[in-house]
Amino acid sequence: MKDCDVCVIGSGAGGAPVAFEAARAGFSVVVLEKGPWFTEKDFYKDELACCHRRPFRSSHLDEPQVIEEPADGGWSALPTSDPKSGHDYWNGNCVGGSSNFMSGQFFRLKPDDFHLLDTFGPIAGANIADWPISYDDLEPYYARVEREVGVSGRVVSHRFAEPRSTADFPFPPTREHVLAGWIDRACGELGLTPLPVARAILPAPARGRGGCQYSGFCGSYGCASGAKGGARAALLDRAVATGRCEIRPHAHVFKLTSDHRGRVTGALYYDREGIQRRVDAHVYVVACQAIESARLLLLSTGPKHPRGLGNNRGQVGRNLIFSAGATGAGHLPYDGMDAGVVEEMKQIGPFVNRGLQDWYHIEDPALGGRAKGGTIDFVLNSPGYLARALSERFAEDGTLVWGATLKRRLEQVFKTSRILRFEIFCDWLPQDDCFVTLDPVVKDKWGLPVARVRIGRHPHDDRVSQYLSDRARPVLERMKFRDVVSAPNGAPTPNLQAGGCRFGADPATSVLDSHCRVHDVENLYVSDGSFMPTGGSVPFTFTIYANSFRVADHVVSMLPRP
Amino acid sequence: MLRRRAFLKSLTAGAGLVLGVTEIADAAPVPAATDAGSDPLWEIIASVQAHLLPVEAGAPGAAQINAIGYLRAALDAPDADPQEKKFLLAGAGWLQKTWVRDHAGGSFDTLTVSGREALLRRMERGSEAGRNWLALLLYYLLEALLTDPVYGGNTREAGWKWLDYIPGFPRPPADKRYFELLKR
Repeated sequence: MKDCDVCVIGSGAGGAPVAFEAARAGFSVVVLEKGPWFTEKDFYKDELACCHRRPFRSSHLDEPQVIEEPADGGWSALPTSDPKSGHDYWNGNCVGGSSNFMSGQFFRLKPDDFHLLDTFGPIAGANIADWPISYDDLEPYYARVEREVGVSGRVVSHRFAEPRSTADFPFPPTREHVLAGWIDRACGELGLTPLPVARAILPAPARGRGGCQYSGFCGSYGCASGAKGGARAALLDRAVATGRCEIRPHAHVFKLTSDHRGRVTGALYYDREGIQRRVDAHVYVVACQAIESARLLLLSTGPKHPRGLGNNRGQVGRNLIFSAGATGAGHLPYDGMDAGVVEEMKQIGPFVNRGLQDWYHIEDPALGGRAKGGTIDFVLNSPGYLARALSERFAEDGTLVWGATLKRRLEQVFKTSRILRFEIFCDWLPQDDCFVTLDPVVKDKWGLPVARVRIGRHPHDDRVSQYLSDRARPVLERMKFRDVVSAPNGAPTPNLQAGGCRFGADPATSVLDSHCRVHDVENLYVSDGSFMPTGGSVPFTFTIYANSFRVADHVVSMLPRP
Repeated sequence: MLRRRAFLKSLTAGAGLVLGVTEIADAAPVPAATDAGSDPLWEIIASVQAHLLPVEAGAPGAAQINAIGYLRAALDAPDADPQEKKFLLAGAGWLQKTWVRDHAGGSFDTLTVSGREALLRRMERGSEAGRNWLALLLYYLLEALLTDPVYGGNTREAGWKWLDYIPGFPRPPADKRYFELLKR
């Protein structure tokens, strides 16, 4: 007698759609989540909780990871428990995962993103692979995410617009800041096509959830109204309401056991008291975010999988990717501005919701001719002050700033201008030096080997992001923003992880089949971003959600009818 | 520990704090008791805070945001790194016994504003430990200035009002402060 039909490990955007659809179809589901179970009643606009302490993220002392970075022609390794590390790949260890804390900017991939190799050809040193499915295969699931998770926006025609099965988004756009209109005008004058950016945020109450409260404290903060389409608010609460989905928080899965045929036979986990427990299911779905999903598979050795589940060809953990890109910003002084405009500029709450994809494909000899470009996304700076204030205690020469000088700096930063930022999203090319293995020495608080992550980057990525930054800055300058600067991302995007268990037709070069089932494990799926051979030039979350709904349909179709 | 990590990351010399703790500890061992017995050290820290964030017309100083109360509460929070409290208290003793004695005489409290400034700048330049100590004090001063008053600083939202900060809503009640959420 099994405990349930489906056991989902990890409750974020990768796992929740499977739990939701399986429960809706009448199957019993157990979701094992390492972190606690917070709800809207626990989320407040608390900058300390959000960004400077760790109630929502695992402790590096209890659960370190080891990060390898390039150094002197080789690689240096440091555990994240070392104060000098600076790396942090924990993003939201609680029910609903990091989707609780996302900004919710939702972009679909483009049809060409599924066939980068075919469209643009190989790049030396990059392991680019085409997806085993096409955009048309995923399109119905993008539409389902828009409906079920709740995506608000407005479709406009443009050169790289994705084909859609529905005319428009099911929810109208969220309220917009005055700068959205400024961006539209500036882009129009520059001959560009500003795009309304869709968001996984409900502008008004719907689906039993509240509408956006427009507090301005959105990205990095949990949503107090349920308007943000995090996996718990949008899907798991509804799954639990069916009576067929049980969520077990504080359940750290450390091994999937398997039998002599290679089938998974159980999920072993430690509960809050450190007691070892087990769940037996017909089907297992892993969705712990890319780094930790690869780690769990590598930890799960068995008679047919001596190197870890799905790793007989040594592919698990390889071709890890993030989102490459850059950030930039400028400031618009209030001095000389009409008082009414100043008040509009100071408003927090409404969103800017503007992006540019004019250069999703680019032609540039420095990039080898025709090349894949990316997305420019305009965002207001965070309404929280603390992080910026902390940086102001250091002068440009590194000396400390205090006293009246510090106070004048704070006044200058916070009281005299509006800051507008832009973020560049472009492909992080998969390559041999970006991967996950198990560290041979460092253990977590349960005594288990931690993930060891090598962070290798392809130089092409920075060239593309520089190309896009060079085209984003003029938009701000057109609006009279001053001191417009930009720089490539100095580190990987910890909240945008993918790859490590790429899907494909050939078991020699991939871990998962086209349904995201492990090639040689008939009852094991990986449904987070791990499946992605390439990541597209947009944030991944929309695609992770959509693919998980696609996986859910397959899982449900394979189970005997309840 | 994010604050410690952020603090260290922001320093130019990554190993500074480790060296600094040793340097300070050698000069001024931490008293065994840190409650009533260590009040003079807390008074020195409060005086340094008052210098780092002075009172001005229309702009709050350290005492007006309860910076010392905030700091003591933060260092005693359930997730606090005990090394930070030890380091800050040891640094206060070190400041008095080494820097004030050797370079100025008397006590930190009796120095003029310009005398305090000269001494702290000398401490910053002359010692990695001193620089780390001051940077950590500034870190918690800015937290006291800008975090929700539910944490004990930012008295009557003085820091927010000064800098035109618009708090988000809903704001955290006492039973939902981050260290309460850590128990979940």
